[in-house]
Amino acid sequence: MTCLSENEQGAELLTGYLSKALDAARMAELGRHIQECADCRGLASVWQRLDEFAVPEVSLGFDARLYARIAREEARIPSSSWRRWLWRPVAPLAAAAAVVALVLGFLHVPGGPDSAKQASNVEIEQVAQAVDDLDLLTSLADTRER
Amino acid sequence: MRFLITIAALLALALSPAAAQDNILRQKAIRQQKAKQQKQQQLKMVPLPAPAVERFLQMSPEDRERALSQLAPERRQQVEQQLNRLQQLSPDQAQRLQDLYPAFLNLRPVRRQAVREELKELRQMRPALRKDRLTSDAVSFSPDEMSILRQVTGIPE
Repeated sequence: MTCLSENEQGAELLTGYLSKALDAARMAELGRHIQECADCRGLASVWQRLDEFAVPEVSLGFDARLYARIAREEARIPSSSWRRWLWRPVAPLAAAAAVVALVLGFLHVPGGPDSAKQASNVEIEQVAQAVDDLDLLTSLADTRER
Repeated sequence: MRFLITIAALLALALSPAAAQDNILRQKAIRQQKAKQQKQQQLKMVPLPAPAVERFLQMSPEDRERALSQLAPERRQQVEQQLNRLQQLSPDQAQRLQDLYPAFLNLRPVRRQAVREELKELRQMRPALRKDRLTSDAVSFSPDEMSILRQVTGIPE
């Protein structure tokens, strides 16, 4: 078996292996390879650790606040060419500021006078995913009770 | 003749503005009663265990519309149908979801995806075949995951 890093479908195989979604023969084959190959073992362990990383829930209206912040930052950037040139070395600093803004976004607790406005910015995709899951967790119970 | 006159008089009375107003008031009262019943039913409903969904349901119709308009039409229709189903759950079903959903969210993302896929598979099967499938699932799923699959399918160990 070729190593996962050299296989075009390596990422898919590894995800399937970690979620035990592969068929029994593939699971066994890949399991044996991972035991024998240190590189693939390392790769699998990194993926496993990434998978175990608990992502904190994004606070209400996070995206809206982030985009507003980015818009404000962009508005502050001077427009003349020499000033723009001056900004170039500051790019890493701006990146760091964006990271800080992200962290602040996570830490910000919703509430206060503009909470009603923020409620309108509920992340619809987050809602749609939760609705999918809730529906999936109830649908068989419905079938059972029919 | 007198009989005909009586009928005509009754008809005239029934069609009089006073009768029409009475009719409108009666309909209004029925509508108010229905709205009151709906409100009481909503109060009795067990809240959904997903805060994002609950926040969405508490939004004004305009905000809800604005949020839904961000979705593709097919996806929007699907979400609306699902929301509709969720809002019609019996208190028992909603209560069951209160335990199931947090347990599902506690799973690691990869395992959550595996459980999702398995539930979709089970959903496609006839109820009689689900038991066999669950028996073979025990090899690939952890006890916590099996507990979720069993609770959703209603098939005890």
